[in-house]
Amino acid sequence: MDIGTLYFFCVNPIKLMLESRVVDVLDHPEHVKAILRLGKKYRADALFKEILVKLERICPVSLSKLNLGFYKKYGSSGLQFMKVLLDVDALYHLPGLFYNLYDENLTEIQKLGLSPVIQAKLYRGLHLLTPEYAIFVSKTIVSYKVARGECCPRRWRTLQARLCKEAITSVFNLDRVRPMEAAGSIQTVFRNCHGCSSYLNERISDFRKDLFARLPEIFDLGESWKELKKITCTFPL
Amino acid sequence: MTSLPPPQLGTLKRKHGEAASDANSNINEISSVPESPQKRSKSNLTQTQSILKNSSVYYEDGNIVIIAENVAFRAHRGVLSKRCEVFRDMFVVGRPCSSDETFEDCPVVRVSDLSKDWEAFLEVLYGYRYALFLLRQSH
Repeated sequence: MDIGTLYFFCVNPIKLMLESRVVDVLDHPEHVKAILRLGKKYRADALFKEILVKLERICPVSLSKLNLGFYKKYGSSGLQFMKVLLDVDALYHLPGLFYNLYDENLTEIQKLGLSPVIQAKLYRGLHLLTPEYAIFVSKTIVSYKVARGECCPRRWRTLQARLCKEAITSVFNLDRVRPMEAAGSIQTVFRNCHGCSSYLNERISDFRKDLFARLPEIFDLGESWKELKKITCTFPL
Repeated sequence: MTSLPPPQLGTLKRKHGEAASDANSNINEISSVPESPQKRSKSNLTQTQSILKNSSVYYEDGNIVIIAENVAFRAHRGVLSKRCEVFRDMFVVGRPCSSDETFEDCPVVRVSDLSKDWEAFLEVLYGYRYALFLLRQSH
């Protein structure tokens, strides 16, 4: 943020509060789509880039963006951007968008006129995400004894029972659990034991990093985020 | 809707009492009028078809007219060339238009996009829609 913007915010706090609600471009998907289409076609690179950065709320391109939890606000609204992102080759934003649709109702997708190939990639990827949480639970929680021995046995057993139940429910699609968010939600279980807390948080962090890194591959969009970034823009994002 | 001064080559007709649709909410219609003989050699758009002026992006001091569908946007070459590489290249080459078409004495660039897309695009380019959003790059 430059000094001018900072000054503007400092002297206009009320205006900022009022206008920041009014001017959220993501509340006007038709405008976003228009700017993306024409920005790409007529090479308005700065504008195109700004819109893509703004879209990262709906289509997170990094774990830190995903952690902001904007999917709760926008829900399935990301669906309407899918076609335009494909049209302008913004593939870099698709894995995050697809992931955010994991627990959404996708009945509207048929009306978007997407190619069967991309729909197949979406459904296949969502299907592949389903067991990820169960695998995390099984690898990390169930085998905690190897790493932690007899430390905090009662708390581990309680956690184990809870997570196994969640994982099984998710696998059978009774109540879909977003894997990265579900794993993140148990970070504070061992507040009083530094050893168990560190062990658990390390496993959670590794799981989230690994899963996020594999999203392009899971949705069959590319081998890595890096590759998708190259395809999306000729200018640095 | 902003009010426009009377156009030079056409009479302005506003459709009062009509609920304007989103796409045409900022549009004024121009009906064609006979033009002077010396201008007949040039292709003048008001003569052949009904062109609608977009009142949201129609600057009287603009020096380029973009026509999308049948809607005219009058803008500035400087703004377009600064923000869009395609227009920059077009103006550098020196031929802004593919033909000799003019609209209210401005050269015309015809585009194949939707007029509502151009309206949103130009409003953002000129910075009076989502101005704050454009400032906040860090989000």
